[in-house]
Amino acid sequence: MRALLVIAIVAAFTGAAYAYPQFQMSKDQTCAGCHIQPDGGGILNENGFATAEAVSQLGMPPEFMYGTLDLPDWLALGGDMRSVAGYMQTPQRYLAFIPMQLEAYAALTFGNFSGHVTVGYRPPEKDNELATIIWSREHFLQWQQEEGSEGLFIRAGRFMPIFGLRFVEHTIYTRRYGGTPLFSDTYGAAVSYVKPKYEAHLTGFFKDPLIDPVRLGSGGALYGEYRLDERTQLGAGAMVEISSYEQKYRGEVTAKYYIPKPEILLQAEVQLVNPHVGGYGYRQLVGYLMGTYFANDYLMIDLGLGHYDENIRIKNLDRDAVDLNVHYFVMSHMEVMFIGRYELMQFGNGGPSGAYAMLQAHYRL
Amino acid sequence: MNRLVWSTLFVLAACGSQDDRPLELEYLTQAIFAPSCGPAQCHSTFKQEANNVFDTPEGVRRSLVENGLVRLGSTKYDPDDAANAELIIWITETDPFGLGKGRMPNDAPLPNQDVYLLREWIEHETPGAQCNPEANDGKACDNKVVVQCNADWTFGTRVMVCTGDCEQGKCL
Repeated sequence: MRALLVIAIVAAFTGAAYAYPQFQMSKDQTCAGCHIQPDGGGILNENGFATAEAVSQLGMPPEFMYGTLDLPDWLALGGDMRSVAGYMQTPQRYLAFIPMQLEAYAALTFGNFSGHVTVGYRPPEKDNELATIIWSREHFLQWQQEEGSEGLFIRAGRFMPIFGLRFVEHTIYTRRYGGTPLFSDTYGAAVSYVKPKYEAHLTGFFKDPLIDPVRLGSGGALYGEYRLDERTQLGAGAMVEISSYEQKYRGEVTAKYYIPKPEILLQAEVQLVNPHVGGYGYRQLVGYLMGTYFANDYLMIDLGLGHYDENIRIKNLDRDAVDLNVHYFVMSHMEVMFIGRYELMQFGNGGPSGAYAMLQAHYRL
Repeated sequence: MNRLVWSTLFVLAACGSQDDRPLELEYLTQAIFAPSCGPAQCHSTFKQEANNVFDTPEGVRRSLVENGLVRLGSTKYDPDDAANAELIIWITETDPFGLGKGRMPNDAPLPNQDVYLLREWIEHETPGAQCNPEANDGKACDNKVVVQCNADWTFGTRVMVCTGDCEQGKCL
């Protein structure tokens, strides 16, 4: 009989805040509608603050530090703290506590130009802990054509290449196996054009020469979304990444459909990946389908299905997951979330199954 | 006859083909080690948890050889017993070595088919990750034979055959 090992692990999952793509189409047409970055994530804008307040049970002033600090117009500050605790089975069973994120953000805006920086905790590199426990995951300069959330944006610096639906949860297959894994922010430049009807993002990126990075290749990503109407969006993208030993080519399609009653958002992302290494090329398939039910003003329930096939030609390598996330937005700055997953290899015939059931606390400064 | 051929091809296509994945370090790194063992918060170049790096071929070969996850000397010659190589124990046993660290990967299971491929690779003497050319004056043990280690971490020319055991490039 397999022994039950119950231990505490730290930093097996860590995190970083990106946007909630569940809110696109359901709350606003674009990510830039609520965030000061054209691809979402980080600091909220006025509309984002209003949404944060509207989707929480207790409300509270949604601005940075509840609006108690009188910041000048050119300065925006923010921050996120997250940690998670609960049960994991991989297939060994654990009790886990994981500090995920402790990050502060600043954005300085002067006319059409702005500078953005995040500073925070990262999992330190072994034997180099003191020098690597704090880092700046993102720092970039941005020029934007128009005031507000539309038009042309040009960025240069360190950030995540813009690709796909950009889910918050880095364990979602289309992030983990899909070209935007956790902490794979890197240096590059991006041109974004955002309109309510459509948006397009072109990113060129290269391996970070300053640290031992997560993203070990250089390349480019192109991603676009077209909104057929206020409920329906289609997207497509491509990414090329070349490192010292491999090449990866990705093509993807995305879709969103919002049903106002009973307030359900369906979204899907499917990628076909063509990795090459040595003289061997093969294909991988990564997909994710999420249905989100907005039960009331402060409760959001996600049911997700993930699929990843490591090598399409070879049988018994499929991986499938069912995810259940329940987000409870207690107040405009605080969220409590249940995250659950059940994961199968080849529908149970290709290896041990995995699972987790955890509670996550998220506080936004 | 034609019908038999076509139906066989159809069945093969429907079920996926035989496992002809290359037993090469670069492929294993890209398809198995990097996504399963080398995420950012684990054995990545970024984190280097437990001094193991599994998201580059250089990191994988150094981790396997220097940390003894696969041994090719004669006192523990893993190709003869791949199931008991440390690497395989870490990814197949509950509480490997009683260290309380848990079975790896500790954030998601690994498909059996990948474990089989790694075992097969070890049975073939881990091509691409056999020895460290910078250690032991560039000498290594291939079972009971002292060999010169090539720059690409593969076994090179024979230096001598040991009458007894061989470890760390020396006859014992």
